[in-house]
Order: sequence, then structure tokens, then C-alpha cells
Amino acid sequence: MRLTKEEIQFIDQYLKKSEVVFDDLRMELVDHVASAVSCKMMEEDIDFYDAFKSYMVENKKNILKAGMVSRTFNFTMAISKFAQFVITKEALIFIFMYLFLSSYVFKDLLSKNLYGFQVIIASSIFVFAILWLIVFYGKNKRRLFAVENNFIIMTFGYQLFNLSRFFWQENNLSEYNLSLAAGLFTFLFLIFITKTTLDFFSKNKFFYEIE
Amino acid sequence: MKNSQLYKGSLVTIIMKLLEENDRMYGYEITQKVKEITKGDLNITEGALYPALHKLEADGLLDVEVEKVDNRLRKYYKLTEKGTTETVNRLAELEDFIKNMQSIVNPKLSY
Repeated sequence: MRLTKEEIQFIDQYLKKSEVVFDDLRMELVDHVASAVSCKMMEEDIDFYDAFKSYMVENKKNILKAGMVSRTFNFTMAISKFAQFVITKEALIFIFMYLFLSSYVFKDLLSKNLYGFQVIIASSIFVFAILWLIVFYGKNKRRLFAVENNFIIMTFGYQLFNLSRFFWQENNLSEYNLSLAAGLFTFLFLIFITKTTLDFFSKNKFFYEIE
Repeated sequence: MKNSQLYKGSLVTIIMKLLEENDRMYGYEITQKVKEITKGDLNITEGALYPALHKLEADGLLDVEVEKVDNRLRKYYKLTEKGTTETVNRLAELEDFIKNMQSIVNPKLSY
């Protein structure tokens, strides 16, 4: 039995109010609930609201559990995706070029302007974050688990750099090398997020059609 | 899903086996197919199914297609090339496991 647009929106709003905040996870759960409810309507010959109520009484806990992955961002999933990205041909070429340019071509320039380089690293994240907020929360008003979950890599990466600072003095790691590593990680992360986002939209081109 | 580590540990293999046989499937379809095959004995819950599907997708074992169906969007999953190879390996491993368990639990019936 085909549900109306209003009935689909009702399910969507119900899940949204139940804290399934990510649009991509909710989209999938809306389809799940809608499929189950329409089957129930046919089998038991009842209307939408009775079928929905009956289904949610039995399954609400499990449905919300499927959407709650958003609360505890999935660390292993993000790491796995980033690791796969780092060994792609494009990423390896970027790493090679970055190391070659920073170690040979621009070594003197970077050494003399290390502070400037550090500012570029920090501001690139800042600019990226601002653009991100404008596009996703300002313009499209969407939250996507498939993309946002990957930001956990950023947190993890900078915890590693904080840790490396602890060993910096003892092992005499230079600020220059540390800045290069931070730059490499930051730029790789920004490319990774951009690629993940574009992949998501190419696979989900209908995502913005239903309001 | 039955509350047993045996079943929980087999969830990914069950999903991949179904996708191998059915080309592409969506979440609700997977739960219903399992219910149908096991005559209602095995019930995969949404809370177990979707995180498993998302993990398989992140690992590059599944690919997705989103289509508009009956006023809503539906996400179909299908095996990637890597996923197809992994399915063969997992099924072989599961068969070995069953064979070994059979030998231990019921030696007379072992093959």
C-alpha cells in the first residue's frame, strides 16, 4: 500500500523528534518504518495511524537504536575509511608531492616562514569549517552521518600531535618537522572530507528532492 | 536477532550471503527475507542491521544506490567486487566452522 507524502512526512518528523538527527540515517529508517507500516495496513486492514502506533509500540526501541549510532560517532568506521583513502593512488601522489616540495623545493622558504606556514594550516581548517557550516547547516539545513562521522579523524589526529609535543623536547624533534607533519595530516584530512562529501552526493543524488 | 553470540557473530555473513543471491536489497527487505527463510525463527532487529550495513559500506564491501520509491527515498545495498570475494571467504569459513562444530557436538553425524 502506497503511503501519502503527508504520512511519510509524519514518520520523518516523528523520528526527528525522537532524536534521529542525521538526515541520511533517518531517510533509511523512514523507508524501513514506511515499508513495515504499509505491510501492516494491508495485512490487518487498519488505517495508517493505527498501523504506525502498533508498529512503534513493538519496535520503537530498535528503530531508535539504529539511529543512535549518531550519538556515539563510530570511530572504527571513520578510521577504516581514512586508512582506505590514504592508500589510494591520488592520496599517495599527494603525499609524495608534499614531501618532495617541502623537503627540497620550498625547504628554505618554509624554514624562514614557519609561523606563516602554521597560520596557513590553522586558517585552512577554519575556512573549511566556515564553508562547511554555510553549505550544510545554512543553505541545505542537513546533517549527514556519512560525512560528519569522519570529522572524528580530525580530533584523533590532533590528539596525536598533542602527544607528539610531549616527546618533542626529549627526542629533539624539530618544530619544522612537526609543522610539516601537521600540514600533511591537515591537507590529507581536508581532501578526504571533500572526497567523502562528493562521493556521498554522487551516490545520493535524489537526496534533496524530497522535502 | 536472537540473543546469542553465535547469531550476532553471523549477522554480517547472513547479510552478505543474501546480497550475493539477490544482487541488491534494502534494509527492510533483508529483515523480511531472513524471517521468511527461517520461518520466523530468526528476527534481525533494526538496531543490529543498520550499523552492520553502514560498517560494511565503510569497509568498501558494499555499494549503495538511492532511488525514489513511493514518495520516499530507498537505499539499496549491493556487493562490491571486494565484497563478493569477502563473501566467498566468509562462507567457506562458516562452512568449516559448522563442520568442526558438528564433529564436536555430534561426532556420529559428522562428515
